[in-house]
Amino acid sequence: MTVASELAAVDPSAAIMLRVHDGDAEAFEQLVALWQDRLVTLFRHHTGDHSTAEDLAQEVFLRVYRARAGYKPTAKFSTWIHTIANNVASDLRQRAYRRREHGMPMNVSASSSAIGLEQIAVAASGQRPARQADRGELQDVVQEAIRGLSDNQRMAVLLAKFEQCSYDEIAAAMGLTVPAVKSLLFRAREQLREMLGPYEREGHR
Amino acid sequence: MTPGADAHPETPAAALGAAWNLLDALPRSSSTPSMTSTTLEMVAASAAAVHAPGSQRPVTFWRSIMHWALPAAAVIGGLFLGFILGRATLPPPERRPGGNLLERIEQLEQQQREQRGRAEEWKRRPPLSPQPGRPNGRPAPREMPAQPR
Repeated sequence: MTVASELAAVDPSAAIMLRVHDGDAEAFEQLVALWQDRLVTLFRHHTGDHSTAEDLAQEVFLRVYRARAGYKPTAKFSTWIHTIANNVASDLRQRAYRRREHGMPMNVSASSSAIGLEQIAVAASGQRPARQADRGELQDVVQEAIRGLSDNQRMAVLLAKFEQCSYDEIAAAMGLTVPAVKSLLFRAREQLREMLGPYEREGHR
Repeated sequence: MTPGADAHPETPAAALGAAWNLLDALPRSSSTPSMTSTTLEMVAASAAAVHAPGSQRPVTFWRSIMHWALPAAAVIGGLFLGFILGRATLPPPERRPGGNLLERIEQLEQQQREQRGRAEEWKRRPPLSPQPGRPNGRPAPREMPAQPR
């Protein structure tokens, strides 16, 4: 069994990336096909906008391609690409911040953590007549709750929930310590419980 | 262990499990059908731009020039200009203060030697002899002229 085949068994994306490293264009296409939906989902819930999410996912692939020469499979490929994704999200945040500083209108909802708890609480409260929110409404409320988290909390929650990342992997991707990630997720879950309490009590799943 | 699957039911994280499960309501997004092709086109265009002669490299080169070479050249040029201006405005050596210091030292030494010689000569001189007719050697007091009456 060769090293490449062993790696392909353990981490298929890393094996594909090694082919990209060697200049295999077809392998890069495979990598895009394998990861684009996952990245779009991550960024869709992070920014709240689908087209922005696709733009950011493309930016991640562009950075992956540019960094192909220096790639070494020392860690899981998912950790590597999540690190790039987090950097792309951070850059978006900084651009949004600079736009705000210069009084320019924002076309993305990256800084949507300004959404007040009250607004979300109203949406999730007993003001609904029958308290029988259908799945679409639940999605909206949960999406709003996610957007109410801070940027770091949101990224940590999304990596944990949608990418099934461990504490170690989230810490590596976000450049934080494991205790910091635990604290971040604990506070995020506290806030989510506060915002989604009524739905939680109804037992929606 | 994944963050959502706490093994300790007593922890706050486990108590928040229901809220955690609510996140399952969020849909998985799928990319538009053309995204793969547009991504590959974008990457290919970026790679072509990097490899195109005169595109990326000169920008990087000139940027590095702007960062360190120009200030360094300005400092070196300033030093050179200062040297030239200093040379041009400097007075000739004989007019510089302290320029003929050696000559001055020689003059002072000569003066000292002369003073020392005079002092020796003065020491060797015989003592003053008393004036004749005066026991103490003092000159005789002048006589007052007679007042006219």
